[in-house]
Amino acid sequence: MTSQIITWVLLAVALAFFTARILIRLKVYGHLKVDDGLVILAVLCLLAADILWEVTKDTAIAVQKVHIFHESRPKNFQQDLSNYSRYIWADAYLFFTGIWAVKGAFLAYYDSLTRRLVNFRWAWWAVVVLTILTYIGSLFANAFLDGIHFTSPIATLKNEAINYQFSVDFLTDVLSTSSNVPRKIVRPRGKLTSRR
Amino acid sequence: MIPLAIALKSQVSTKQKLALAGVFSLSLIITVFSTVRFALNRPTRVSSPSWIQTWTTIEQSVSVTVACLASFRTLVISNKQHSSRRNEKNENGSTLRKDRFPSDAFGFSHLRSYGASPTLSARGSMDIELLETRHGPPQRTAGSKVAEVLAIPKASFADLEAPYAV
Repeated sequence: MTSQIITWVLLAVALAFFTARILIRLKVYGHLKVDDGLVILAVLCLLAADILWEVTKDTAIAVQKVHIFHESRPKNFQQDLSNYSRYIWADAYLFFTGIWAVKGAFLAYYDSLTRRLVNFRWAWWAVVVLTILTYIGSLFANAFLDGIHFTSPIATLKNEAINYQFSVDFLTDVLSTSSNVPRKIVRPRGKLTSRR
Repeated sequence: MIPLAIALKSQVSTKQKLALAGVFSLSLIITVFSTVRFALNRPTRVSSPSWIQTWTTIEQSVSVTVACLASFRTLVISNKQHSSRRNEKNENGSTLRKDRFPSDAFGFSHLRSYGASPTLSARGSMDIELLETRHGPPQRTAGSKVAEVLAIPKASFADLEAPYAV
């Protein structure tokens, strides 16, 4: 129940901020930009993931009770297991697409801010390419995450897949932060004033 | 971390440092939630699926919120500018616009490109700029280029390019 409240409250907060962003952008620009489109994609993924969890949470909990807490198998367990596997896959794809869309939104904004910074462009492109590749890699690694096998040989691969997904998520977050301001972008006020 | 260090070392006012650091560190907030989710989701750890899912949702929701958060600075800056403009008069009694640059969508009215009026810059209102944009002359009118790079509404540049009421 607590997790449900947290989920829906955070969704409401995210939707409120998203609506405000869109309204502000429309007021300031008169139209939406690429980064707004990516944020819209992220919101859709978030919404879909939350609805999916709401629909399948009972199945998920039933499956985990058997696999983690070793409770007796309920009726139609095989069907639940199959549904749960599908849910885990769909949820992961929604999650990674949403998270990477936010990274893309940040990068798209920095793109418009630094388009004329010739010396900086290569770094921005490198981060963009890395971000795209790591997104594809995360989806690929997701094939090893079925959420069911905890002791089978696949568990080792699962461990590596989770480590990989976290590492690239963390790395691309830091890189997209680092890449937004090249060293030369910030200039002291005094220096600028004296020059002119 | 690099932009944070630069922002903190730059010779701008503390308010501006905090504003820069705040916006540039927004995506770092996501990494905190990402780390927590990772710690919960490790195969060596047996966690309740609902809590793993909750942390996944938290990370996703916070990401969306953070991506939208910076836009709100515009409202604060705009209101401040609006109120300060109303209260200031120049020698001739006409309204003196202290900060003629409207905020961009992220509220960084002090971020300027080469295309901005040099007169304005000489008055010390330009604290931070995109330096490399100064290597060549603006290819379009000053207002349109700045509006494009910094997403400032072009209509506002009617004021920018007009002589100041000083």
